[in-house]
Amino acid sequence: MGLIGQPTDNVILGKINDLVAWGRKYSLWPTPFATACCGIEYMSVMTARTDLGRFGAERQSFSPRQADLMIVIGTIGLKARPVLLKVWEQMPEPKWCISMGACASSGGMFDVYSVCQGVDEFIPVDVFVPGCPPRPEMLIHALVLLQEQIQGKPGVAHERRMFIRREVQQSVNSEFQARQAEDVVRKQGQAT
Amino acid sequence: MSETFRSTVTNHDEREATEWERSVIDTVVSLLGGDLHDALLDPNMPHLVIDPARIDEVTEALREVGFSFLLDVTAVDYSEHTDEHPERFAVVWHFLDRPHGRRVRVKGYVADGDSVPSIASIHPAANWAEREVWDMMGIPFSGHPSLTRILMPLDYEGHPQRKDFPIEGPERAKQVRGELQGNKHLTSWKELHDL
Repeated sequence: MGLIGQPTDNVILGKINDLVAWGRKYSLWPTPFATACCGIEYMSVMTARTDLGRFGAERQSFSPRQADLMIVIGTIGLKARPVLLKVWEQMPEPKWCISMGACASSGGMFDVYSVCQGVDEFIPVDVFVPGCPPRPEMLIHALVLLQEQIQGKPGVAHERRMFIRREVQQSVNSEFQARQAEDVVRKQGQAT
Repeated sequence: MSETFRSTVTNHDEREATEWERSVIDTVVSLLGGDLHDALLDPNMPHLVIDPARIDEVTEALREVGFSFLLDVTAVDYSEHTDEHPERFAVVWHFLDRPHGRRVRVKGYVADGDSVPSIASIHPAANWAEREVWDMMGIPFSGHPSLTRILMPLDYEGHPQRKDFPIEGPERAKQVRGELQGNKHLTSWKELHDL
């Protein structure tokens, strides 16, 4: 090791990943995808009374290419789904997503043909915020949870990615087994 | 035709037509003859039941007597009340005479799949309204400049405001009934990323 001498009290040793995560979690640039009434609540989160800037998410980015946190705010209709996906895919990695409110998280009371039943159908969501609409404090809590997650605690999105990988693997496996079973039957048929 | 008319509103007695209502009904009677199936009087407007194939002529005639403003084109699915109505669908037009504040309702019954003449060439406001009726109810309008979906995605299947359309959407209805196997979220995820 290239350490010369003894580290003093003025030196902190750590992993570079932790340092980067520490920097990232206090400088999140949120891009709001606001479609419904939760958007009004989001605006109040950004105002002086409950200032989200105190937690580092000061700079709202209305261009997804200069953002690393997407907050989906409100009901996502069927026609908004490809738009939301396009916005999400324009954001550079690493990126996170907060689903704010009942509609974005589950379709809410709109269990109808024209509304997407939760944005986690097609983008990985890190933190879900319940409520119709959520209190500003709940969004702040969600941001703090997300910061903890960025610092290293495993979160919902990680679990979800793992779950999807497992599901895909299982379906591939079962398909493979079914095809093998078909082959066996066919070979038996040919033999007799 | 008698001087008094029934109302479509329940608990509302039949009444005599006012002067302008009488003249509107007479105009349509002289134009259509037997194609005017029924004439009723609601508390605030005449209600004319016509053969929908002649709506373009009726629109022109109403415009000449002052009803120059198309309020709305919409449709009703009566599939749960087939005993009270001759066909499954009814297309409804509302016209307004702006200087006098008078309204007329025109209604025509159509069967499933039958087309109705478009009045978009007379009232441009009908363009989007007819597209909406096509999108939601599946009633085609002949002669419309571009009869495509307006509210639902262009590749959507089915007409959601029909009574036999499941309110949750066909896919989710299967999920609710337990007919759909596998992870619905996963399939839609993959489908969307394959776009």
